[in-house]
Amino acid sequence: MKRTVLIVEDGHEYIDRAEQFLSEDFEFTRAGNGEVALQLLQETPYEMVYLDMNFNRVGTQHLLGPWDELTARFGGDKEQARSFLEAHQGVYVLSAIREAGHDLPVLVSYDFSSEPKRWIHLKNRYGPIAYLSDNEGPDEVRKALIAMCEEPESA
Amino acid sequence: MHWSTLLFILGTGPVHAQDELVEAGLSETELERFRDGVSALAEERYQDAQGQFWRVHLTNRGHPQTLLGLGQAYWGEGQLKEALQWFDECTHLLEDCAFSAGEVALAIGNTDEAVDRLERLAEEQSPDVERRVRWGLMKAYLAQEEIVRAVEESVQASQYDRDQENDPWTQDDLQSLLMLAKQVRELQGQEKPWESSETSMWPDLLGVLQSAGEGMEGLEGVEALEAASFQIEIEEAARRRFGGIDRALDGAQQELARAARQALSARKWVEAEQHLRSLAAEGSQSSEYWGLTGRLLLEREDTPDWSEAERALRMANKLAPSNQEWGSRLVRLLTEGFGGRRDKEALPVLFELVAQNPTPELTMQLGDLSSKVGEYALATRSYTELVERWPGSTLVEEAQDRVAALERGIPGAAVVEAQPEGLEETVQKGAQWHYHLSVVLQGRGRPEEAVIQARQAVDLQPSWPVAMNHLAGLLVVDSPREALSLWEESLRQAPDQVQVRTLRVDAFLRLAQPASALKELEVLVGTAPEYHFRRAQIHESQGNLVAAREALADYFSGYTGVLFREEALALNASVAPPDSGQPWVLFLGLGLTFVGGSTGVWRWRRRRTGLSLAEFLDREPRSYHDLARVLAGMRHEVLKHNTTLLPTVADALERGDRGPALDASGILLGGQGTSGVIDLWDRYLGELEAIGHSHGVRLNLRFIDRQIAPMCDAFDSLRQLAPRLHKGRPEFMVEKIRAISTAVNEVGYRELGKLLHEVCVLEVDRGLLEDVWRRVAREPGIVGRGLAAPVLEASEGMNVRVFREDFADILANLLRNACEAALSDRPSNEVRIGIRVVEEMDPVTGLSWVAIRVLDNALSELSNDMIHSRRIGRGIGLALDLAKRSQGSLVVEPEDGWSKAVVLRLSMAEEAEG
Repeated sequence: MKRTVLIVEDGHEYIDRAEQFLSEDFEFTRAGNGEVALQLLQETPYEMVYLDMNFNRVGTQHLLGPWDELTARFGGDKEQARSFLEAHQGVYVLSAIREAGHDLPVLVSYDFSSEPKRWIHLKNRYGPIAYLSDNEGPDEVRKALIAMCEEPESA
Repeated sequence: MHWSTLLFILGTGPVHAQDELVEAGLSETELERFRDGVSALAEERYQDAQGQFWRVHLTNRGHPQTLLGLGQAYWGEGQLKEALQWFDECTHLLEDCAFSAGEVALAIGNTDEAVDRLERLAEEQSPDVERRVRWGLMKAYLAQEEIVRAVEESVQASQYDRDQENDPWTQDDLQSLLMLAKQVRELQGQEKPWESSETSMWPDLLGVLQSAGEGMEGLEGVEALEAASFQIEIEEAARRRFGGIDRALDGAQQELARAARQALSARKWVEAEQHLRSLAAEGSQSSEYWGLTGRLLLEREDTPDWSEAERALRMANKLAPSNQEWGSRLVRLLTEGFGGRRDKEALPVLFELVAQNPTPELTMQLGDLSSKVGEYALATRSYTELVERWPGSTLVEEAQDRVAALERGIPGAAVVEAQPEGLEETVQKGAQWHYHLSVVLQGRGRPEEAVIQARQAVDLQPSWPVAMNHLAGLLVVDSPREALSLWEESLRQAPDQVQVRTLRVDAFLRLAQPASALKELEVLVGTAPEYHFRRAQIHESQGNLVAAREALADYFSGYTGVLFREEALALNASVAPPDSGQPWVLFLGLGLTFVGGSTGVWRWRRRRTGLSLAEFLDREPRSYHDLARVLAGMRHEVLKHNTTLLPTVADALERGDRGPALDASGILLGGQGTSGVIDLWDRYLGELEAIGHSHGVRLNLRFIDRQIAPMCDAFDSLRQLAPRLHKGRPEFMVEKIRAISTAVNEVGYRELGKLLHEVCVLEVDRGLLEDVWRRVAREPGIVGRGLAAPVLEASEGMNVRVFREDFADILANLLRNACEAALSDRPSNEVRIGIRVVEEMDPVTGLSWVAIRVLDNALSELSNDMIHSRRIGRGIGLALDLAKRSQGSLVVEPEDGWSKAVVLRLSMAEEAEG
């Protein structure tokens, strides 16, 4: 039986490529933002999540994260706050998924190899999670998803 | 491909008759095994099928369907050569074996053999060759690039289908058909001899496409075809011929659309959505439906994301490209919804919109957007068209100003194709039509067709400089000599075209004719003395330093503007005579003058001169932010989701599966109205070169840049390989694909990351802070005031993401501001300044910042509002801008023991980075 994966991304690149190259092994559903992702997770028991990091095609009102706090951090500059939320939205979505009590494995599409300390922190806080760098192709995505599904704790 | 044969085995005709025929001569045990083999095939358990058929074969070696089953089973496992051997054994017994053998030969890449086998089969089946054989032949001819014969076969296959009312064509068949259509289109563009025959193949092929499309219902069918196609030509053909038409609304649907519009205007989203749902239920796939849906998704506050709105508006725009409402909304979404990041995508939509609805406002908008994204030629053309076409418009003056600004401000801007005075009355309508069509085609990235149209314009009106200049511009890369003669004729008609002369200079240099380039420049400097600099450049590159110095002297004496100024100063320094007499320098100069004259050395020099990115950054550190934007785009937009497919393609080809290769071709080459990733790479390269050019520097990325040049080589290889990915011999392709993938996805990705890292990560330590303080302490308002050195609190060096120069400027401004504020209300000996550097971490994102807290004991107040509304001077505004450019922040916070802290926060970069 195919494994069910919820792809959370602002565009359609991941879902298009996944359906093109990985549909033999997985069944994919797309959520266009964090809110929709939480709603879908509430309704359907997906086996894992494949999560984009940068959400710069989502309306501001649909970005998850501490708006007021960030606006204050940037001295009241809402544009900078928005830009920050967009660039790191993946982590805020991840945080919201865990806060909502979903403990399924999450594969984050982002290269954390240059940020080992940050990655350890995120892993301890949000595990089971794994990451896959942007420069990996469909076969690597397949392997990572299968590994996540079979041994989420090893991720 | 398997299914046709499999259906035969399972029995597509009268089941019992087929069963009897197939099963004749088999014992009961053999029959049982044979049936198990067939079931295994149907369930794609190929190894099981092999086992069952093999057992039958051991005891009944001549049974044709068993041999066919064995071939199928091996084929399913991807063992093509073995499959071919089995099919060979039964070719003379069973037509399906002969057909399958042909198909496998094609899959292996033995196209000649495939054609041979299928032709023989077709002859044997004469006169009424069945559809699938014709299909096989069509694909085989296509692989041989025997396009005429492939079209003939596809037309006959289509005819056969109509006669027999056969099953709908498979996706695989359609893909082959669309590839064929693309090749026909390309051949027509190249004016092949057969094109002149009265019966062009294109209409025939469109007829086949149409019959394929008719077998599918509604928009789904069209989308399926479009998904299979990968060239805009095909998309257009599909749209025109079968279905992508804007279906008119009937009475009830019109009523629903009207109600939806009213609800949208009243911002009653739920009601509007209900009407649109009803409209969809009524079966409407009109542009009105998609457009209103897009509008709803765009305007309502709870829209999940804009990409759905974008999809709907794109659909509406595609179905009705002349509809101004949908086009404008799409343009607005792309330009206003994404902070300028997607302006380039909006440009072709707006371009089409202007072509369909030419108004002064839209034309002005096109000019502005083109200018914003760096398409200066298009911007100039748009403004000029506005001025010429609507002379009474209130926008004319503004457009004229912008043309003038573009002409002044952009070195090397494309030729202004303005109509020389007195000529407009004499230009034939036909010539104008061809010229405009050519411009449109060029804008759509179809240069070959643009050249054909431009030639027709010039043929019809040989004295029209506008068309000549345009054609020359199209030809200059591939046929510089022809371009030169066209420009020469254009100058004969209208001599005062400065930019045409500059283009001729470039073309002469491209042809390694520096003497001719210099001659052209001699004329040019009469009206544009700044071009003495270009003379100097050419002399210098030929080693003629004396002439270079003279030309530079002419530049400095005859021209006082800024164009080429910095570059001229740099060149002047490099060609200045040596301080002490060193005879070998003279000999070297003479030697270079001699050698530099030859063509080979000219090219050699071109390839080896210019700056690499790293050198450029050293020289122009302020360009970092522009370069970083483009490099990040290269890394994330070119590689992510795109070239990363290559290993998958290689693996699939090794298994004999060409599907991923076909998909990858589309992604790499583009189609469906979008650019391919190879074009995208070229555009990014062009952007980098343009950044260099804007600083008066020639970047040599393709030959000497350590990081970029190997990637350029890989993309060149990919450009050659991409069109053949799905039809070349796998054994030749796989190795090349893997090599390209390594160069681009692994080495290239890493190198680009390193380059970004090298220039933007700075270690902040006490030494750096003290350096900046010393710089500020020497400034006129502060030096001699007896200020105590600041209190520094900084632990070991921390890496932050900022460019060194920017950091020094920000900190200097903050320190200066703190000193001046404190000095304005305290005696010097009471002024205290401090710098405290601390690390902070956000537990949610795991991101760390370095906070540089600049402390003072000034009595005057400074608030965040004052900083961000720029109500203060003293360089805080500049510091804020620089901090923002590095994604940092600047705020005022309280600090125990001090009046305040102005806090600069910058992202921290971890040690392991790079």
